[in-house]
Amino acid sequence: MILLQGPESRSLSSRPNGAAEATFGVGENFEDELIWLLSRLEHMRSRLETLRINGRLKPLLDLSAEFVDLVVAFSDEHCAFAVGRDVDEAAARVKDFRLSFTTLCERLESTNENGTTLPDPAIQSQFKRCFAAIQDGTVAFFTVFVGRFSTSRAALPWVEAAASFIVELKKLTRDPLSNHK
Amino acid sequence: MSIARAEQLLQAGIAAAKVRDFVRAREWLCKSIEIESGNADAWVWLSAVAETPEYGVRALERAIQINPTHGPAIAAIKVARLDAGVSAAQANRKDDARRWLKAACSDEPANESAWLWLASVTDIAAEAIEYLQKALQLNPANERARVGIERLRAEIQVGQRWGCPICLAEASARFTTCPQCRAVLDLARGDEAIGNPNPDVAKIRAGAERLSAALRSDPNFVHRYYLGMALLNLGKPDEAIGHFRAARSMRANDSGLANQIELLQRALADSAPPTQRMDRPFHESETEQPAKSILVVDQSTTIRKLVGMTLRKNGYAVLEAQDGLEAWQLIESGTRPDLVVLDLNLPLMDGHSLCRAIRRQPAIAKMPLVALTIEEPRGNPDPTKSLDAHLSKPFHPATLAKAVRDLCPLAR
Repeated sequence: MILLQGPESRSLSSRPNGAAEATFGVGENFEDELIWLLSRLEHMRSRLETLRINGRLKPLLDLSAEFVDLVVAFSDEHCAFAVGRDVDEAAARVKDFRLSFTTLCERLESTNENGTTLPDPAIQSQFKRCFAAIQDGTVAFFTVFVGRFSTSRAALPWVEAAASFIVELKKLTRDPLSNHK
Repeated sequence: MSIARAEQLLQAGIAAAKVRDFVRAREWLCKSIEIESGNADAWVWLSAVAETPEYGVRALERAIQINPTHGPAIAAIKVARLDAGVSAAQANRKDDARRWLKAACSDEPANESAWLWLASVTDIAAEAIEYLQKALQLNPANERARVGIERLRAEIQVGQRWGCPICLAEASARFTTCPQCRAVLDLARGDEAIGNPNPDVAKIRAGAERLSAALRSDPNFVHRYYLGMALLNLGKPDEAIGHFRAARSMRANDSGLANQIELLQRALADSAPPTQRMDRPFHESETEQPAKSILVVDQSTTIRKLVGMTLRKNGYAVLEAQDGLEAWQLIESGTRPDLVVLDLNLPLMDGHSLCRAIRRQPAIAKMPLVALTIEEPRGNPDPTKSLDAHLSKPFHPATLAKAVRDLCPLAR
């Protein structure tokens, strides 16, 4: 049997930060890079879902930050000169996310939240804001990435995959703490 | 009036300067210069007591003109240019400020204050960010530079400050094509720039000349990049590529730019425009009759689509199933894929069960099976000895394509 370990065979806890990951295996083909990006994002989304179900707030928050870092790093690397409303929207959503993230980190630390009880409404509200920013920002970034294709036909396969991803992501972001014990 | 008188006035002016009586010092030094204008020392002293920094710089420039090796003048002019630039910036005389401050930055590239001031009088936000980044490189703790970069980026985002880097026209929002000179500004749309149907040639040419001149005094990334874009829009791709390469050398880690340059070079080398080349991998594989088909089994629609994309790009036809049971029903109904890519964690019928079922059927027992899963192999990753390959998620398309090609090569 051929044992082919993908590039990310390490456990999540030893995963490097998003920016470092984004530079792994950079190939000539932008489309391959998009596939690779979406593959990693899907992996993270799946992990976020698991953390959400298990009510692990701090790891959920940390992984969401990794998610955002990965998308931003990809954009910085491949779409450095992109301009337009979607770029602006994406940057604004990242800013929103980082603000909510910082606030949440402080709150979780100060309340010594251990994930065994339902967090207070203020924390729940911040989580919603955080994930709403992730959702909207991801859509904006994806629009920017698709802009790199010369034609919409060429972009269609990736757009279909990305659309599926966004639909799955929406389930997570609709109410990030709804399954909290 | 004699040279001796000029010397007397010079000494009087120096004495006044030393006791900080600048008014008298200026008076006597000016009179000395009126008699003997070729005395570099007099000009240097005059610069020291000049009423404005700009006058001080001019006096020093005159001294250096008289005596190009005048040590004190050469040393003093560096500070004087910065002072003059700052003074002009404070008076909102941006053209003068830019002139002095660019000279100051050229004199002393390690002067972070000079870069900060230069950024403050630069109208092009992208250029200003470059200057602030230089200050930040010199001093990573420079909070003003960091905040300045964030503010400029924020201004760009909300469209309050945007100017075409080529023709300098202002607009309320950023565009990839300038509404004034109609230049395409993004190398990612390089093919559109080459085939620009309606550029304002005069404005773009003027912009190219301005950027060329700017490059001579300040060969930074922004000037190089936009000069390249101007040349591309003017139908001079070979020259443009030269500038893009030079810009690329300033950002060794910018693989995105490297990719864009390569795409542009390919577009120029081939006769077919890039749009056709990008379409070809998908539509050729759909209209031809591919020899091999792959069954992709995964609960995630996203993963199925990504795997499908990868395999189609590499010339395979793709079938999909969302769980083990659907996949098995497909095979039982007579569908014979040449290879199966499956997640081991499947609903209804898990991956191991599907593999066992396939291996039990003599007609399909040798079908290659590739696992694509988040499960990490622990000890024996393949207890049923059913798998031919095991890939971890997240997968890289090149890794997947190679694994499939190795087990199921396309007929040539």
